[in-house]
Amino acid sequence: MIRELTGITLPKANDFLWRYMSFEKFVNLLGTKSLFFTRADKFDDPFEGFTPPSVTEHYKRAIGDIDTLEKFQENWHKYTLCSCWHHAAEESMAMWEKYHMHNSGIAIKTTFDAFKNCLRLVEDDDVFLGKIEYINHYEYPVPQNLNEMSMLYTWYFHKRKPFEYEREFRAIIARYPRTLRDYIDNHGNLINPGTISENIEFPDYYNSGMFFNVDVNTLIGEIITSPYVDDWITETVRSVVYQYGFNFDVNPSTLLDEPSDTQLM
Amino acid sequence: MTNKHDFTIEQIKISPININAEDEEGIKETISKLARGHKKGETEIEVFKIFASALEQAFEAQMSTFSPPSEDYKHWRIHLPKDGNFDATPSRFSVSFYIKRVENL
Repeated sequence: MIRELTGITLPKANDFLWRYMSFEKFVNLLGTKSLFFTRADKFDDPFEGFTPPSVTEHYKRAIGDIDTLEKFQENWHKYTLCSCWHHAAEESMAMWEKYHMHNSGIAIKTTFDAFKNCLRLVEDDDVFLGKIEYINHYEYPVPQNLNEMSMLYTWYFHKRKPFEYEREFRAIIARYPRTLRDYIDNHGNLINPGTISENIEFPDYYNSGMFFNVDVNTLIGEIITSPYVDDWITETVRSVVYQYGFNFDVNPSTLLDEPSDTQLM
Repeated sequence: MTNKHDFTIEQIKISPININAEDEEGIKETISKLARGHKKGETEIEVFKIFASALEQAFEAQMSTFSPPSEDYKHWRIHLPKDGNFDATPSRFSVSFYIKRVENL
């Protein structure tokens, strides 16, 4: 079930979303018809999902002690699973570079509407969608509606300004172990730090993430192959797509084409 | 002095994974029985914990996971293995439901 969060913005229905991935991961997507959601603690950004200092201070004033809150923050990332996409009208050379797509690699092009619809198969989880808001982590003011915000989700839709080039959109799914359910409050979203046991366990369920069934036909609008690869790789991708019974358009990137082939015609 | 209220568990939706139709019927029946009637509690979270524990006991689940409610504060979800442990079998199911306070007139 798709759910929305207060204060988190969504792309427009026909906005394009891109996912750059290796050929192996793409084949896995076709074969399993599942999208991989990565554990939030497996991302490179050490600030992933962390509350800004101003907000932490706010909690500190309210509850006196934030040690337990910090302990929770460090651990609950294990249970928050993300699928990250690039929100842009055009394909991005920066993204090809970021994901080291020199030898192979493809980009899935879809729209926000299609992405949302492909998730209708995820029936046994709530999926939260939103664009990342890039903030100055150290100067971020305490939101006025903080108590109405779902602390367990909201900060996964905020990153620091230096990551702004990512133009990220993400979907998140959270599954927490029952050991944590005693520590959410009446609203179900803020923990109750005063009662946290020092011996609380944070079991490790998912290695690096989890697969969720999606409607691949709805998800994929077009496949673009890396600007660095030869034509035969594009042909191979096309052939694999057909072998798996799909009929998507597979086209080579034109980012490194000679200007005379593109702009000057 | 406690301040207990009546709550109901409504709009239950069960999503089975790798569970045959016969077992699914049994699961649905058990959950319906457990959900029936008014539940006493001070808050929604208290009722959630009581119901979640009842589900774990009924299905002898050694482990379960839950998804915290979103901002409407009322929609909850718990994931359970069919046979005690997530590692033992791919058979599992999730139960989503709303916890609604009964307004006494």
